[in-house]
Amino acid sequence: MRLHRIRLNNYRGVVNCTVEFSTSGVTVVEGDNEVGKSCIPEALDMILHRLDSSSKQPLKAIRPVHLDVGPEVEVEISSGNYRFKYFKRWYRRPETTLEVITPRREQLTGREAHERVEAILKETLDHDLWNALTIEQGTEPELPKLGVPSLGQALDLAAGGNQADDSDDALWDRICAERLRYWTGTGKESQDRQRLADEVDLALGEVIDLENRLQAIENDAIEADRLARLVVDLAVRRDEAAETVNMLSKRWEATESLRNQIERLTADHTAAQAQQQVIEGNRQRRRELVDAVRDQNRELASLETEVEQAIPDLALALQHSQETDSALSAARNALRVAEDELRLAINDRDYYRNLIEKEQLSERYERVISAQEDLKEAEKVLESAHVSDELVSKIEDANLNVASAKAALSGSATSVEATALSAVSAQINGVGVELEAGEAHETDVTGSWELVVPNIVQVRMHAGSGSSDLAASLHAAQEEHNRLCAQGSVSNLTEARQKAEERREAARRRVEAQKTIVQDVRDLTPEVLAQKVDGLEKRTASYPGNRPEIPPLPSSFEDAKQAASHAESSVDECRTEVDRCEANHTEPDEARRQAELSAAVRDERLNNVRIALEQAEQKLEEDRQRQSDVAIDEALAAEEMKVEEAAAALEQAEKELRTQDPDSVKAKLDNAHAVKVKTENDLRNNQQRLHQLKGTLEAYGEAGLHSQLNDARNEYQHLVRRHERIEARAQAALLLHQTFERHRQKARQRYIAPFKEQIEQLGRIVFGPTFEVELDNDLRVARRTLEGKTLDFSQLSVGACEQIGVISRLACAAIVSPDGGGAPVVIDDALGWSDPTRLQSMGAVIAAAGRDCQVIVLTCTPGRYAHVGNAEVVRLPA
Amino acid sequence: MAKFLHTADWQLGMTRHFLAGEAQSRFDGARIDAIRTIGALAIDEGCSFVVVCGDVFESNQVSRQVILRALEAMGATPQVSFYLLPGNHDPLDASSVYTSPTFTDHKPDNVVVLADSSPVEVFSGVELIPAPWFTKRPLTDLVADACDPLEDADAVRIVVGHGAIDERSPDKSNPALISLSSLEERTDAGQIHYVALGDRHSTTDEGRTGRVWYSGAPEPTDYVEINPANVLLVELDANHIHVQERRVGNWRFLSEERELTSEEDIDELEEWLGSLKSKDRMIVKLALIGHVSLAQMARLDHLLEIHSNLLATLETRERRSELVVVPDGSDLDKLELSGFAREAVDDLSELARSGEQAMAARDALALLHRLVKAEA
Repeated sequence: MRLHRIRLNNYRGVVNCTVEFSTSGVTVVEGDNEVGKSCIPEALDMILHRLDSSSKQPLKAIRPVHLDVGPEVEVEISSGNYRFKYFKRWYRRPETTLEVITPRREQLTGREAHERVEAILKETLDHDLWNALTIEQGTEPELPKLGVPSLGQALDLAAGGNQADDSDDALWDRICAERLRYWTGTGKESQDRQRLADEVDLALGEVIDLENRLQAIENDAIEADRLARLVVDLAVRRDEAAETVNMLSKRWEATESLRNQIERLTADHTAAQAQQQVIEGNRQRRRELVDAVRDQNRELASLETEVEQAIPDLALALQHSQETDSALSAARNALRVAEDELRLAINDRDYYRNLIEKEQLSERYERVISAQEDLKEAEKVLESAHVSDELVSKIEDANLNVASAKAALSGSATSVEATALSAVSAQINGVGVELEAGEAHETDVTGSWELVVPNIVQVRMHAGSGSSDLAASLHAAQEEHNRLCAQGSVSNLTEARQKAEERREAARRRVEAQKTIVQDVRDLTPEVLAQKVDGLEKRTASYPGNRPEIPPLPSSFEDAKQAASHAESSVDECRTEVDRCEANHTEPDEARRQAELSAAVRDERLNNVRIALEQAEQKLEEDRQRQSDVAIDEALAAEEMKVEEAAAALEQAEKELRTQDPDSVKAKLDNAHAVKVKTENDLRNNQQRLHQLKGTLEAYGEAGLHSQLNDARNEYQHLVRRHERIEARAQAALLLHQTFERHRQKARQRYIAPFKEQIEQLGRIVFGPTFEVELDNDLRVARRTLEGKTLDFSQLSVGACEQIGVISRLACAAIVSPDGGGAPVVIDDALGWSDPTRLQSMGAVIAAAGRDCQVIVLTCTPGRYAHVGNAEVVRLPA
Repeated sequence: MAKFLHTADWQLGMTRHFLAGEAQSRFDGARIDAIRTIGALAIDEGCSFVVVCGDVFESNQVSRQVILRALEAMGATPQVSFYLLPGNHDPLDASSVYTSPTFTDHKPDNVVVLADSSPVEVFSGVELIPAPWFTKRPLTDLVADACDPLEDADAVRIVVGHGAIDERSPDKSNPALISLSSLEERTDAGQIHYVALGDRHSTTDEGRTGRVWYSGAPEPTDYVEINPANVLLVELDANHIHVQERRVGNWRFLSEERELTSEEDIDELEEWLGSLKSKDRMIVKLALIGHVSLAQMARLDHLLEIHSNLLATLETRERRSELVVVPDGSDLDKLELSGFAREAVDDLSELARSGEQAMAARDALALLHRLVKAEA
């Protein structure tokens, strides 16, 4: 499409404005603000798309404010083969007129004209392109969506003329749809395929399960057959075992019988042996009896000989013993006499000793009695004498204090002397005093003093304070003196001193008495002492009377001691003699005793032997009377014969039993029993197991598992084939899609190449020779590369974005516009973000693009596009 | 003269994974119908008994329905006795179908289970020598074991066995293989007169005597079977034998391999498919190799889709197919693609020629073809 001319009348603020455009090249429409410059694109849109009868909001905005006239737009346009003039007025006298000039002339008005223009534009104008190539003033710099049909067609042509059409897109859509039947958008297998695969697995599981169950049946059947054979075999074995048991039982019974026989034979043999032993015993006893008689006779003879031989020895021993015994008796008698004499001598000596002791003890006792009396006396004194030396010292001090106090008082006290002039009864200090005439009562007044003569006078004196104190001191000293004297139960110091002396003397005497008592009493008591004295007195007094007269009592203690000593020596000598005699007597006496003992023993033995002989002879005789020796021998011979016979029979039976080996028979019989029981158990268990298996197999057999397995296998095979088919289709769909996609991408690369080259060619004017771009699916610049550095479009500066936006439009227009096609590029005061250098370059770009397409630049800043070299400038009137 | 039908390997309860929905039901029904057909054939041919040589049931664990229907079908001809031999699929073990309450409670009188190897007198002068399986893995030649105790006798003896014969089995170490030479010695000696075998699903005359036969399965069960769908009509005495095949099966398994490189090849395939009779009882496995254009592949897909509905089953070797879809110039032109779409198609075409992604690339091209056509 090309714009030749546009005229605005009463459009917004524009009263009348006509612009002629250069149909090939750049037209720069300059004008100040408010002169209608920016109304041109809008007016084009209005006239092309709004009916003259339209009253929609956008149309209201284009009405002139102060004129009651309708806004008018008139354009002259070439599009495709068409060239037409088109006029519209809205609101007031709305009108639409169309004059088609080429290819054939047409005149239309009203709605018909509008629809005709729409039809022409639909046929010849790519509206998307038209919108894309217009840059409105004040909008954000952005890239146009150039994926428009006309550019596509142009690029298709440029790519070789294989123009993609709608059918290709539909095919591609179906390929995509076919792929999506089997694959998800992310390339995974679809749910249907997964489900089918799961079904295949399930079916296979079912097949395996049934196969396993059938295998189990088959195993059971094999097992059942084995068991059936085993049962038969076990039944045979059971019968064999029963037969074995029977046979062995009979053998065992035979051995039992033999054993019983052996038992009987053993009993017979034992009995015969016992009888033989009895007879042998009898014979032995007979022999023993005979031997006993013989032995007793021998013993008797021997003993008698022995007795006879011992008689002289016994007599000699007796004699010898009697001799030594006599000597011993004499010595013992002499000793007894000497001991008697010694006892008397000792008693005599003790008599004298007692006399002496009695005397000593009597003296000690008397001293003790005297000392006890002294002691009692002294303690009496001590109990009554309370004056100690310390008390005497205190009384002495108190006495001295009284004397000192008196001396002090007498020196300072008031002395009063009251002399009765007549006999008078007066009271001095409250004490009645009878004074005879001329009798004076003198006193020292130390405190107060009062004399009262009843009914006559009362004299009262008060000593001075010093006297009072001294008097008090004296009183106190006297009080202390008196108290101490009272303590010692004395009246004054002198008495006290005397009492103290008495006390000391008594104490000394008490000590002495105690000492005497201790010395004389010693370990005794006075009473014991007295008793001892008394006892000695009695013994000594009676002794001379009681004593034998001969020998006479020695005359003194010394004589007595000497006599005793002599007696002791005599006794010792006698004892020595006795000891000697005893020693001499011991051996003969022992010999005698032994001889006597031996004689007694022999006598006893002799006696015993005689008795025993008598008894033996009697016993032998009695025994022989019961059974003679010959009879015994005959009976024994007969019994020995019987024993031998029984032993032979027993040995024969035992030999036979050993031949039958009863232990083995028993072991075999027990084992056969066990085998029979075990076989019966095994048979019963296996029969039960077989029965169970048959029951199980019968139940399974009725289930028709083989048929089920066949069904399951068929189902599995069908599913597998279906799965394979589906998988093959999926792979086919995928391969088809991938192949088409790959070639589609390649084609696209070829397809966009001219456009890319056009952009880069124009862009290098601005950005230099290293400028490259990448385009996205909408043919928008996605990335720009400059000097090897690539940036996303969004990372570029606003100015660069705006410049690339203008370049993209110009490149697009340049591609689609040859031969009058395409649409003009309308730039409404763009490039406001470009610096002067870039503006200069952009001018060159616009100029270069303008050689291939129509470029209309609307601007209020003429200098901005001053560098567009080949531009035709139209200046709108202010 | 003994006259009887020899059959085996009914494998009732068998399912085939490639049979979907109603096809499996009809397959099951046909196998039960085959029993009735055998019964009717026996009557028609004047046979008083049928020996079923093992694998009557697919398993001991077949469904109750299978057992009841089989018994009911055999009971439909009460004048014909069915002697059933337990085989490796239905051995007479503890889980045996033959001892299940369903079987024993509903067994008609004309059905006899050969439960041990004791000779069974069918009627005077004719004895069956059964060799039933008691386990899935026997450790001896059961047929030989059954024959060992036999002494010379006047009766016509029919050995009823199951399993592979030693000369045919690749596993020579299997102790259960049936010794063919041993059987031939016995037939030569006149100790036995016919050996009715089961296990091999194709009707086969084994050895040199003409007296050892596999009857084959009455209805086919797999593509590899050479001559299935028969029973054998046996007429026999001590000196003569006459064995005839009688077809009783209605189903067919077909395995077809085709190379497709041109429209003509597809025309031929279409013609072949169209020529198939009784399509609803036909199980077809197609192995297609070669290379086709996108348009040809679309046509082929359509053709196969139609016949997969007509046939009981149409198996193609999915994913393993050597059929390469190679878009040709006209394919690409027909897509009327330009620009990058055309370039993408060229890329995919290149990928489709070989390499790991070849299959995915072919599928992708087919998919593109479909998307473009859908758009159109």
